[in-house]
Parts: sequence; C-alpha cells; structure tokens
Amino acid sequence: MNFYAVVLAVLALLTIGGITRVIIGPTIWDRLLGLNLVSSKIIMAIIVFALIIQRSFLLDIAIVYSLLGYIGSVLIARFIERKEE
Amino acid sequence: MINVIAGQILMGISLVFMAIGIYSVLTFHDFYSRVVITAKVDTVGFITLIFGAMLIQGFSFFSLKLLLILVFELLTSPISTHSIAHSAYSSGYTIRKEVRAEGSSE
Amino acid sequence: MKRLLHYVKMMIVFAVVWVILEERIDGTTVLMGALIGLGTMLVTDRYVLRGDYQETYRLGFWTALRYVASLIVQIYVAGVQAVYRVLTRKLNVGIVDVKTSLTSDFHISLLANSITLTPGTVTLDRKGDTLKVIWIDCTTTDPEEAGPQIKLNFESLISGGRQ
Repeated sequence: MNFYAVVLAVLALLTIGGITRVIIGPTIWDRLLGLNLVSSKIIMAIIVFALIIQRSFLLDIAIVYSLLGYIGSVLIARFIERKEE
Repeated sequence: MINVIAGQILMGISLVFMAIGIYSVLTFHDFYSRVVITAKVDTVGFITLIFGAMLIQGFSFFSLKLLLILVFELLTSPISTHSIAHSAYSSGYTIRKEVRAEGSSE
Repeated sequence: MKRLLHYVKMMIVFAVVWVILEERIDGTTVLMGALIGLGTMLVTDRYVLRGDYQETYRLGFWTALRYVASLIVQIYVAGVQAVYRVLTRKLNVGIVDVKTSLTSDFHISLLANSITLTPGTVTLDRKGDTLKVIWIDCTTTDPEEAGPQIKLNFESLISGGRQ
C-alpha cells in the first residue's frame, strides 16, 4: 500500500464530506462554503498527483484552478448578496 | 531520505487538520462558527501539505511552482472567506447560539 | 523617473514568475517574461487602474518579509486553537467592532486580511476606520477591550519602517 494512494483516498473522502455539506446546506451560503472547501481539496489532490507522477505541468492546472475557484466564489457571493434597506 | 519521511509526516498532519475542518463543517449548527473554523483549519492544512510536498521534492522548479501556489492561496483564501461571510451578513443572517444537544435544539 | 523605477522593479518580478512558469532559465525566457510583464502593466495602467497607484500600494521589502513570517506563525497558532475549540466544542460566537489607527486603504485591507487569517476571527465589514469582526470567543463587546486581543501586533508590523 503506497503512502500517496492513502493520501489520495483520504482526500477523496474529505471531498465527499464537503459535497455532503453542499447538498444538505440549509442556506445558499452554506453551499458556497462547502464549494470553497471542495475546490481547495481538489487543488491538493492535483498537487499530490503531480508529486506521484513527477510531472510539473499539472501544477499549472492547480494554479489556474485556484484562481478560477477564487473568482467564482467571490462573484457568486457578490451576486447573491441582498441589500436590506 | 530523511526529507521524504519528514515530508510525509507533514502531509499526514495536514490531512488530520483538514479532516477536523470537514468534521466541524458537517457538525456545527451555526453558519458563523462554520465560517470561522473552516477558514482557519483549511488554510493550515493547505500550507502544511505544500510545505510537505516541497520538502519531499527538494529545491527545483517543482517546489518553486508550489511556492507560487502558496502565495496565491495566502492572498486569495481570506478574501473569498470574507466575501462569503460579508454576503451572508449584509443579507441579514443572524447568529444562532451553538446549543449542545439537550432537547431544546432541534 | 519614479514611474520608470517602478516599471523596472515590477518587470523583474514578472520575469521571475515567468521563469518559474516556463521552467527554463536562459536569455530568451527572461526577456520574454519582462516584455510580457511590461505589456501587462501598460494595459493595466491604461484601462484598469488609472492614476498613481504606485504610491498607494507600497510596502517595504523587509516589512513584507517580517509580516509574512509573523503571519505564518500566527496561522499555525490559530489552527491549533481552532482544533482545540472544535474538539471541546467551546464556542461563543459574537460580532464586535474594532477601531484601527492605520490610515491608508491598502494598509487597512492588509490588516483585515491578517485578521481573517489569525486566531478565531473573520472580518465582515468596514466603515471608515472601524472594522466589523466575527469573534469566536466573544467575551466583551467593547471595542477598546477587544481591539488588542484581535489585532495582536499586526498594526505596528504593517506600518513599521514607514513612520
């Protein structure tokens, strides 16, 4: 049993936990928080996978994914914001 | 060889941190406590995992790219957490006290 | 002249990032990175950030280094405290106002960023020099008392060397 395989499996389990919060979250902000967690877990999985196969071009994908996830969550958070007054 | 073992230990620590983050996001009843806890624990896990990977890899372009990812993450992670919390707050989401399971909570 | 110096400094930073992304060090790559950085900066100056932002977004090199080092230490302290609170389930969440003595917008946003990253606090909102903060261990709602416990030493660290 390889160490990295265990790490990837645990990351997959944690991602499933995050997706559970996205599904059951009572409000839309809970879902957004879960989505944020899931995207950071996916970045970590990409990093571990790049470490396994020793190719550094996968890290470019990780960089692009982290920037896109950030822009996405900020835009959605601004979009669903309701002003009270 | 020693650096690989140290890096793997760091990776294990980061997995523990992230597992606690997911546990807290699944079990707390109040949105604000979830935000506060996960913002911290997830960032700690991310930084620890990247340090572990850098330690395993040694000094190369691979670890420099990891450093670049770390810088982006440190800059953007608090902003996205803040924007989610701010969006919930300005839409009128109020604090519900964390109740220990004593019948009165749902 | 100042503008030219700023361009040269930023071109060096862009060239380093480009070299890291390309994974190759030779003359062509460095030149290419510097040129692309110059193009990016020209487009940014022309269409996105108009006016003199060079003076606004400025942080000394050593200040930045000390700030990042202290930030990483504080992040780890925050993580361990958060884990302790999760395991004992001792939460007392509340919202407090914090006044800051920093003046420029850039410094205030850096402070808000570090408040979000450090023990048990997330910044919610800002009006003038008052920050609204969620605090995980809300023992007092008085801004005067809560201030030092939330801001730690980041205020002097951010403005350090510039006053």
